[in-house]
Amino acid sequence: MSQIENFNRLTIMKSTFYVYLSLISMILLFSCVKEQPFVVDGMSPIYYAFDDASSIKSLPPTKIESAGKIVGYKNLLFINEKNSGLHVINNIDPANPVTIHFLQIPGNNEFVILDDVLYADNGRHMWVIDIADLSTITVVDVIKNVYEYERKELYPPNYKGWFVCFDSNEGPLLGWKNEKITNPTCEIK
Amino acid sequence: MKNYVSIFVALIVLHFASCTADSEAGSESISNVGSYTTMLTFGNRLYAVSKQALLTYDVSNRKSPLLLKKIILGENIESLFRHDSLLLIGSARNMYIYSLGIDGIPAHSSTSDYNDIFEFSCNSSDPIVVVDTYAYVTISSLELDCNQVEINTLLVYDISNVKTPVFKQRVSLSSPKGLGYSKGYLFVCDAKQGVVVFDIENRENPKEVTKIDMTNAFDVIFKNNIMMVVTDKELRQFDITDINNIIELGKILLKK
Repeated sequence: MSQIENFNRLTIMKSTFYVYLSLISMILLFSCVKEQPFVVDGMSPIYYAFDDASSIKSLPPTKIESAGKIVGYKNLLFINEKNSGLHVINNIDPANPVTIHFLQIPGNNEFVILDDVLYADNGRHMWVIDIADLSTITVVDVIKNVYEYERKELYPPNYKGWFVCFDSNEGPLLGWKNEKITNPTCEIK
Repeated sequence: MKNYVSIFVALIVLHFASCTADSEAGSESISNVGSYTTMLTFGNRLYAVSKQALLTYDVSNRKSPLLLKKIILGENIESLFRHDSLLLIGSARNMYIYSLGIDGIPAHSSTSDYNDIFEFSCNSSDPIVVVDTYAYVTISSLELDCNQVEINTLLVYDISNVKTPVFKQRVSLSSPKGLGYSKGYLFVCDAKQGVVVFDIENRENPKEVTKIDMTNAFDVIFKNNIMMVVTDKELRQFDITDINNIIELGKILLKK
């Protein structure tokens, strides 16, 4: 009886040893694999700062990628480029409208104009911008915390593949850029 | 009688708004906003809606707005429209009506719940346009992933009594977006059908008269006889002088 017990104990010890051995070798094996960083073409978030007015400026016209709201003002049309600013179109001849400026305002989706003053959001604050001279616009005031900034999970639109996870602690999202990324943890299948 | 009162109030508001400005009345340059706007100006007041609130600013000094009033409304506020001395605010579920006092500060008149019509709780963007004493609202559920019945429709409310709007009519559409009114006709952008034109001589009973084909029409504004339509790809402009012969003037391809 006791012999059988001894035998059993021995087998249990033996098998425990094998389990440990295989666990250790698996850990070693995986740590070897991990030493090679996983680098892949993917996307990473571009952040901006709510309080930074320095990036608000008039730029040459650019292509419209994602059109938002439209406002008519004098002989001009302003079309929002979602999350990034306003395309200015000279519409004096509606048969031949011409894009003349891009007003870069990171995070912008909402706006209105009164007497050459543009009121425009950046996701949290409202900028007050003098646009009397469309080629050199000037921030003249800011009303802080008008908008409720939603901290939510964000991911690149119309995209499949690896990307660097969005982290709202880094700031609000301006957009996404293509680049080589290392050991990404977010993926859209 | 109610009408005269509201016109009178509107005139007083306008008077107040224009005479306190340092600029002369009539010389100001104002925005022509689409139905999806969340910001608009009226005299010396700037109105803005956030996702939850209606904010009123004094912009007598254009470059230095002062907050006069913040009213918390609810959730998912999406659009703002002014008609005379009324502000209409669209959220995913409600149409709010506020009346402007002579100081331009809004006071609540009514809240209409679309669920009273649909038993449905997840509609999206509902821009509003007012013609005389009727409010026109588009409800579009197509983009929503919510295992519920799709509702894509144009709603008509009689708002002659702003405290008790009365639902009058619904017109089925495919995927309605922004809308606008010009000279007897209601122009409704529909992402699938194009711009659908309704004769609303009978305000309670819009009659479709024509349709301008295009995909993903989003919003519309007017200047004189010209209608400007934004889609996801294009800005298109039409001469709408003759509704039976709408002429396309030009377009810009926005996206490559």
